[in-house]
Amino acid sequence: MNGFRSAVREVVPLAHANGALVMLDDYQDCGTRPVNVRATDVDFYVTGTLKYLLGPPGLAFLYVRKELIASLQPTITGWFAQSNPFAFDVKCFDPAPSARRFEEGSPAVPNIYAAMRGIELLQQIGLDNVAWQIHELASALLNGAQKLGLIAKTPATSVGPLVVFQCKDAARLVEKLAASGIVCSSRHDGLRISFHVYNTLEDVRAVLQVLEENLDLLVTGTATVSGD
Amino acid sequence: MDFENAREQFPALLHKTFLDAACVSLAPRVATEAIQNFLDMTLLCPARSSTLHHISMDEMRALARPEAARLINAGED
Repeated sequence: MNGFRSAVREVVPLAHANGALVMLDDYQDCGTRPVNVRATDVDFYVTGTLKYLLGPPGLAFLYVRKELIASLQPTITGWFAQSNPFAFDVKCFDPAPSARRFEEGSPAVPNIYAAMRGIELLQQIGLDNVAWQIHELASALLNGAQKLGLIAKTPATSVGPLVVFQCKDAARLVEKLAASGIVCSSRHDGLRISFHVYNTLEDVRAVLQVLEENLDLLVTGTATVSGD
Repeated sequence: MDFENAREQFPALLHKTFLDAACVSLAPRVATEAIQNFLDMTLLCPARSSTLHHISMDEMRALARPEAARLINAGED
């Protein structure tokens, strides 16, 4: 809700030290910077294509740490989870030894076609470059907002692609921005502005101009805002 | 691919400033073209049988796995 990036590398060893497994839901970040599930040491990782992977809805990925796969039996399954899907044996549940055991039936193939192209585009640009671009834009927005006296709900120590500002009327501000050709969204009292590799500093200037013209809809000052 | 070329993949940017990927991102032209290619295939059933047609469609599913694994630096299986 506020764009906070969790401290995954710090959480994982704490969880493991206390006997817990860790699942990272990276839906709101995957596609904005390089990911290395092995380095982060998570046990499970899930993400989907609708947001920063530039794809359609209806497609998600699951990673399971290799050592855990054999010990986990899916409670929802389908023919692609079988060791041999083409055995067509409905009386024998024989899950594949690999992570394919977590698949179900025929997937949403059109979504896969589209999602692959989105992911390939990001790989061609380079996720390091994507991360750099997003960081530059988010930093420029936060610097400009600070000069206007806006209150960022996004913790300054953990800024990702999503920056959220506290508003008096966030929904009205979204309408004002839309009237200027700027697409943002609101959640509760927060104006959400999120960047991807296709955005530019001109986009930042455009949104800051509208925010400056509508300061009455925003919370300004130096008040401390707690993350949620 | 540089940023400017990447922007050309998103025609909506010619008309608006899009700052809402956290909700639903824009999809690039190549993604919509890929869906169209798939739909064209469903119109024609180019394989000799429906079973082979099914297998052909599923090949894309199989190709997606290593691509997704590479994205997050995971092993493929």
